[in-house]
Amino acid sequence: MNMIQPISSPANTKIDELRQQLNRALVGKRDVVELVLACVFGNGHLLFDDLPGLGKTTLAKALSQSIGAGFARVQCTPDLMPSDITGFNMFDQQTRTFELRRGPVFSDVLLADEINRATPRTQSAMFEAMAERQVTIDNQTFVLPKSFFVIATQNPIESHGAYPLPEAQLDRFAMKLSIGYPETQDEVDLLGEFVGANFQIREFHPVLDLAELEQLQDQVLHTEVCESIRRYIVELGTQTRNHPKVELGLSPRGLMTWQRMAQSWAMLQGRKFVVPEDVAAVARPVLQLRIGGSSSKSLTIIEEILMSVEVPTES
Amino acid sequence: MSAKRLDASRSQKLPALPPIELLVSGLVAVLVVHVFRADSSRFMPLLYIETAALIGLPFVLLSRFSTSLDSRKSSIGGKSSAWYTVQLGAIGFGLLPLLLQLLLRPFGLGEAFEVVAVNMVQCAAWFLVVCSRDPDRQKAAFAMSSAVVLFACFMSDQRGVLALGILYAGMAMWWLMGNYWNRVNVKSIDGTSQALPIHGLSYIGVGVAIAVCGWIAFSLGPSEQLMAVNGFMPVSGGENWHETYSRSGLGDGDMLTAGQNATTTGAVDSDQFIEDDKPSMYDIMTEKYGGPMKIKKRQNRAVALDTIGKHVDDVKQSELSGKSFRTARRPAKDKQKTLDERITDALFFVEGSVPARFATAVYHEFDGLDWSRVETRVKRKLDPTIELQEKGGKPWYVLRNLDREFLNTYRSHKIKIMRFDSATIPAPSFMKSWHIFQVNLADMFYWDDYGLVRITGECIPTQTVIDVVSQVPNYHTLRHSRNLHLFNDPSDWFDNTLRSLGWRNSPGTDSAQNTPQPPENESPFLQVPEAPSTIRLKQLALQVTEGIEPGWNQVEAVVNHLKHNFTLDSKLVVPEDCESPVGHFLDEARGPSYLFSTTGVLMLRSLGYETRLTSGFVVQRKDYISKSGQSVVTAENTHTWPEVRLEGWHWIPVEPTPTYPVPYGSDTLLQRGWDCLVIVVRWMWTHPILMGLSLGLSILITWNYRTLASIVFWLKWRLSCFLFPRRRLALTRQFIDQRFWAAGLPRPHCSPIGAWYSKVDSASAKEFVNLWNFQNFCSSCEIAQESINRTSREITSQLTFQRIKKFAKQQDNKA
Repeated sequence: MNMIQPISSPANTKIDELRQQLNRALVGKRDVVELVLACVFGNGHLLFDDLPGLGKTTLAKALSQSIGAGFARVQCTPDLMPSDITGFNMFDQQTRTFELRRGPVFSDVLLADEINRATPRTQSAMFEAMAERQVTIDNQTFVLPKSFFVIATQNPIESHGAYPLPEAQLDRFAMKLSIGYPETQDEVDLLGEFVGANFQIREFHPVLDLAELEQLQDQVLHTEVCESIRRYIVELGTQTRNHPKVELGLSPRGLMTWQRMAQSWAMLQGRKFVVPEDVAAVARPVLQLRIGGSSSKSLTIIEEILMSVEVPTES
Repeated sequence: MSAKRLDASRSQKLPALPPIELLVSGLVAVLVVHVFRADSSRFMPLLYIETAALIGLPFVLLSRFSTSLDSRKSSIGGKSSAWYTVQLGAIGFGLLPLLLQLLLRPFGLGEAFEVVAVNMVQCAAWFLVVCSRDPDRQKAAFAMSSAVVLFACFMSDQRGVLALGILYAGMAMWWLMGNYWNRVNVKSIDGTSQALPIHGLSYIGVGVAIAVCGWIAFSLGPSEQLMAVNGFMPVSGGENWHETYSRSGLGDGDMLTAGQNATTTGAVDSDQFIEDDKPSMYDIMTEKYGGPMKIKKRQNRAVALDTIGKHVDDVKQSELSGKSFRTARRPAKDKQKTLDERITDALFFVEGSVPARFATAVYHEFDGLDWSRVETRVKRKLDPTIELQEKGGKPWYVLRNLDREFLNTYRSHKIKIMRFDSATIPAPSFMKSWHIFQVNLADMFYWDDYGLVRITGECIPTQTVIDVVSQVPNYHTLRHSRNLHLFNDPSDWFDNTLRSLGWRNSPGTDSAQNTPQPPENESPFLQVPEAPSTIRLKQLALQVTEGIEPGWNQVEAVVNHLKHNFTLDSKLVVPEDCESPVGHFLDEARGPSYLFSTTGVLMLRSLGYETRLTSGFVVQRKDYISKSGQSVVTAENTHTWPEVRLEGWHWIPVEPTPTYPVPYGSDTLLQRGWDCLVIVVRWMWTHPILMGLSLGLSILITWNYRTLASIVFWLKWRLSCFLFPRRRLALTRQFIDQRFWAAGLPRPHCSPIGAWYSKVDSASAKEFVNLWNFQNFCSSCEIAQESINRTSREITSQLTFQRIKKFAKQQDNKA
């Protein structure tokens, strides 16, 4: 009999450890941390969209350190060039050959800070890396690691000198997360921790190595999604296309991403199959990225869409 | 591009023809209007040409202009010019019948306004059916066609229109279903299942449905409303014979051709009007009721008045003169007549609403066997006078002094005398005025002693057409009026009888408002024969009217008692030695119609209501010939009924015989509703225990229906778990959902069960939901039946109805 059993316990402890570490880095934001984990295990790229100083970069750094992966960071500015991200061939005077200077994209975790400050041209340089996990420089294609993922942050209220991400770029991200202000008590604790400590040099020990991460990602891939759930996702997707306030509904790629995130969420809950609650749990970050509009407006629309479709009760 | 824009672009690509079901139903509507118009058409070939042109013209226009319509892409206000062209075309096409009408009216080929209006709507609808390609206007065309068909079906009593109407209803259902399924298809998730077989199998379904409906409609036959439609359905063309464009009601207007209709005057060459020996009233009575019987053993009877023939030796002789009517008769021969025979035997034809009754003779003296009447040529001051007036250029005879508040509406009939051999006009009750073509002699008619109008001379000539306008009594007013002078003092004989029976201590004083008015002389309409049966009648009458306030309600109570407790038996023959047919009737509780009326008269008289026996003709629905729009009156229609005297002059007919129609009244729908309400309230008042119980039960159910529902759900769950143990988990989920519904906290369809159940009890809900998820969303998981049983038991014991209700109440309080 296959009763309610936890999935392979060693991995589960690892997940718990990672969870705890991230919660230490970002105090009082358990729900956000959970979604970040879902995104990471679902092998999706993450976009943080929030005000400055709320811990976006802190969380991104903590995540990359905890995974123990190669971490690279790009501070996006309007004069940043595509080659500043992908890298370029430089002529070596001594050897008289072209030598490849790898850009920050050649890493396991890439943090693109304030991505909407880069020009669309530079933003587009990441298309190939994000979608196909490979980089082409001067007709030479380099394959990136399987677990490569991008964490980007953007500032929603600064519009001067900012370039909103194109739809094609947005669709390549899996989730858009807002962290939001912490609770009062959490802020009090945070300040307490800061007394006598240098926050800048806080280090996190690696909890997972890349192989373990890939193993967990593989486990997510194989989480079961039965037909009624798939139909539920498709119906929700159709609703986004028919909703009068949504300009552009969900693409099939969007649906696939949504399903993957639901699978990942199910694994985090210790299940080997997806239930309707998983689909609904990841609906907000997945849809917010794709249906556009301001965040409060899009949240209302997402609620309406979720309300309009009957939850599958029996398969 | 959004989904809506995609839809819009899809609708641009349209087929060359409209949907077949719309086209066919539109065509049926065209045919309905064609048949409807044929009913009143003056020149049939023109109608055929018009209909053919109407059907064909939109197709011609479409084929001529369709290419140019497609090529014009300019748009005004978001709509293409084609859209406006079709719209304008429909309006133009709809105006065509009006233009045609203006052209044809000078030639005398016009139609009534409503027919033209129907035709206009129909033209516009058909144009839209053929030419429009967007769903909105197709819907509009469909709605217009439906309105036209509905109108035609209501206005026409033609079977063809009815049949086509049924066909159209079937088509309409088919179109609506098709429309619905098409929309379902568009919305289906995968978008591929465009070929639901709605247009394949549905042909058979629609065919069967139409056949069944048609069969039912025709086996049931046209309703009473349809039958009697001539007379109360108002038409703009008018309903009087002299109005040019009348097409219904009384007469077909001046356009009528002589010989086509039985109401026309002038020579006709049809063999159905060949002259033969006209039957006398005696023959008519004998044909219907059988001849009067000779009673073997005759006792000496005291006769009420000396003036009538004391020794009626030859009954036949007396009946021949129309002065008497015997209530003991031989059985009549039962003859089934064909329609043609009936038309040949017609005494007169009646055009106008049926049922109707026409009085020809009245009797008021009854000696226990024979009814007779006295001719007293005494002019009374209340008698109405006959005046000759001119209305609409025609001479009309009008009776004055007949207006009372309970006679508030009018009714018209057209009577054509055929073989009716009598000088008395067969008149409906309360005849107000009458008219005969070109007859304007002031002393042509006189008012006889019995309130009937007679023509000077032997009889009314054959083929005379008489237009009759009569007033209609309002029975509701009679029932509820408190100051009607209905009573007359019962004769001393009655009072003595009553006292001897101990029925009444002080006669006639039990109602202060209806204190009987003593007459100057003893009324001849209160005479009853001195016979044993009279006392029985009196007892019965008192018994029936016990507790009913004196007045019209008592009259109705007597009449209804006879109607409901006695059986009509035309074949019943009184034994030859029977001296009191009424006594025999009371014993047997069955008898022919004249005994019903005789008994009715005697019972009413014994209560003190002045009553007389009227004989005449009752025209019923079955006598109506829809083809010619008139009713045939033969000897078969002979009937007798009591009439109650009101306020000295007015004689109100009542009908005690079952199966015969109640006298026509002008009671409005509101009045009838009020009467029904009174009956219901009275019934409720007389059954207090039953009412109290049912009221209590309904209050209990209304207030606690949710609790009762939860009990029903529990029973259903137990039973179905027993029957389908393998579905236990699903059944339990359903049961818990139902409990939430009953507690007033129904789970929305968009909410997963876990989130909803855990609001009340998260622990037991979690276990159940886990199990539920395993069973439904994990294909590789297998769950032991015992754990299902245990979890089901647990959750049903935890999430009880009371608990959920309490939780719902808390939520309410919070809100």
